[in-house]
Amino acid sequence: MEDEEILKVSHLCKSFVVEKKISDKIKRLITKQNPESIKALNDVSFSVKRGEILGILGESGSGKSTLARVLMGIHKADFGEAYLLGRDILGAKDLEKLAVYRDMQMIFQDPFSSLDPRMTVKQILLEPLKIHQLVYDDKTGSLVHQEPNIENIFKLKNNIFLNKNVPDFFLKDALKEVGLSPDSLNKYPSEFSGGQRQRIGICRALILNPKLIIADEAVSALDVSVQAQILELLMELKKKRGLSMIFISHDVAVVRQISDRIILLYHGEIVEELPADKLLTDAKHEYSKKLLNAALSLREGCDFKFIDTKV
Amino acid sequence: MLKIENYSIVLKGSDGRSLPVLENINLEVADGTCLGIAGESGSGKSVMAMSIVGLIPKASINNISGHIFIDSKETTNATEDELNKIRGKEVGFVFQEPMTAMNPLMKLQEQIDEVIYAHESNVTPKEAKARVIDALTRAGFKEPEKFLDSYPHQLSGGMRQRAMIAMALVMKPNLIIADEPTTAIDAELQIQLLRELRKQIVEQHLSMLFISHDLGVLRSISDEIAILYCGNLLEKGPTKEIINNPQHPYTCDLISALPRLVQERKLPQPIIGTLPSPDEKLSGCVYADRCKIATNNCYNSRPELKKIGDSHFVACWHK
Ligand SMILES: Nc1ncnc2c1ncn2[C@@H]1O[C@H](COP(=O)(O)OP(=O)(O)OP(=O)(O)O)[C@@H](O)[C@H]1O
Ligand SMILES: Nc1ncnc2c1ncn2[C@@H]1O[C@H](COP(=O)(O)OP(=O)(O)OP(=O)(O)O)[C@@H](O)[C@H]1O
Ligand SMILES: [Mg+2]
Ligand SMILES: [Mg+2]
Repeated sequence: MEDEEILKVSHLCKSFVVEKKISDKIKRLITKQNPESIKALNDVSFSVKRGEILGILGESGSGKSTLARVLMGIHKADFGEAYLLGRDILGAKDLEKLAVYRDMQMIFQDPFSSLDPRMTVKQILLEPLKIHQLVYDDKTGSLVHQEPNIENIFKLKNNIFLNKNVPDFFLKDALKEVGLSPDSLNKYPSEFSGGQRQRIGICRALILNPKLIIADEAVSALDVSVQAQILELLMELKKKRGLSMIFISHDVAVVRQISDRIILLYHGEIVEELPADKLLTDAKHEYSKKLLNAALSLREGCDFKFIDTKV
Repeated sequence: MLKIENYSIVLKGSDGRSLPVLENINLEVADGTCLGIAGESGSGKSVMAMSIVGLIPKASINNISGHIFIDSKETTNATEDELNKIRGKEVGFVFQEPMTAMNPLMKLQEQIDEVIYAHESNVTPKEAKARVIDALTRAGFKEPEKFLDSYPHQLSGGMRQRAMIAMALVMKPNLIIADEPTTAIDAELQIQLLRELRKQIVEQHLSMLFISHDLGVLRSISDEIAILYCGNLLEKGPTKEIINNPQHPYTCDLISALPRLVQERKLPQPIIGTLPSPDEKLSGCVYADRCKIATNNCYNSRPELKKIGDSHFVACWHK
């Protein structure tokens, strides 16, 4: 099972049209030209194995977030396929789609805007269960789909969630797993620090017990000490749960620390793919070398070193 | 260029609590130099930056004492009109959160135009556009012409941050206050930007207050570094001293928390515990409860900054 592929992505393409003025659009329609567009993703193929952390590196604007958004169904792909545990995710609809996304969750960059300030932690954690219509099953101690008896169907239809069926201790255990105190349950996001909020976000992503987590710049907004705490937590979760992860960041040092394998994106294309251990020694593409050199001058060791203004 | 003297500020918490966010700060930025300020989230870095140009909302201030001077003009008692003349023109400000500081309904060029027209009304649109493009280029934007008509949500995270820097640079101010200006951008761009800013410091005599929690970034641009924790300065001195010869245990811990790019792969070392809120900080040394070498004395009374070397100061009972 070690080498089992969790996610397989092939030939993914996504362009954005850049239309400056309405008049341009009219002109284009008259002359039947193709619109000017930015190729944010161009023929991207890769896979993620069970328990593997795949790091995605690339300069700003290289298409990293677009990749995450296409996989999460926020943007529609122009072309290409993606299979999660053998199930088509880009073509999935309605219930099918819901089932797929139960296994794939996202951790967002900004711990401040990604949590609704009017919801308590408990409500935040129950939200995904509500969307996926899951309840707690006493016998197995895990989440199961609500049984469609008459009463439940009525509630499902009217979007009434059987909150009482998810006991607090289940949520408290989930909080403990990400290093938060169980009495956080009835607090609001504003009562937490940035690092704690990011833990809440991670907890929300984990509550459905997904197989794959997509983390887009999940530690970039955090200060270095909290960043180190969250990286430690993610590594621990990977080991304990055999979780797979796509870890997107512009920080070469961070990605290399946490990933097993690394992909480099450049103008929407994969230009390099290699084990994290080999990143410093084996990267071949001109662009990878440039990125590494830049990262080295910021991150190599920690001696005093002024930027060279003469270059 | 910039002088902060015995500055303290107490803010109002949401439930009326008094929050002593900055306590007795003394700092100076000389002409054509860069002062870096480092510290964890919540240590008071942004409040300090915003205090300088009077951007803290009056309603949330409980009390201010001390003085801040820009070019010998005191800003702590300036009127809103006087401050508006200073902001943008004499002092460029790079805000920490580009998404909240940019107007989501305005195109990139309009956002930067606005800064120009706020101070100069007789600039032709053509000249304004040229200045906008120049500022974007200096902020490390590749092909800025392509994005002039883009709205903020159409730009990538790093592009938004560079747009903010362009807004600060466009009036060619003498002092730039940059609050975490490079957190969302990749290393190559970071280097490019740091190099560009450093060049303007050295060649144009620009002065800068550069705020970052990342000492890896600060070491490459600042002449001096000040370490802030819970609203107190724990250490300050020349960059080389702070990085190669850190004296305060907190400075050492911050350095160990940095991610490294060296052959051996090892996760960075987190600092145990969390930074308390301003009204819950210790009455002794503010770092005592997280400090590896704290003793009883550290909890009992607060150490003051004392000189331990050539313009190197540290506030620690053990030094
Ligand atoms: N909604 C959109 N409309 C138009 N263009 C877009 C949109 N979203 C992204 N783009 C463009 O697609 C390209 C890739 O953007 P993306 O956000 O994926 O970059 P990124 O690699 O995540 O960069 P960063 O490190 O700065 O976050 C950029 O040129 C961007 O301007
Ligand atoms: N307008 C305000 N009213 C009340 N308290 C505030 C206000 N602004 C900031 N604070 C408090 O002041 C303290 C310092 O906040 P500040 O934003 O300066 O931290 P920072 O060092 O910039 O952190 P970060 O690295 O997260 O940006 C925090 O405890 C914060 O909650
Ligand atoms: Mg992005
Ligand atoms: Mg701040």
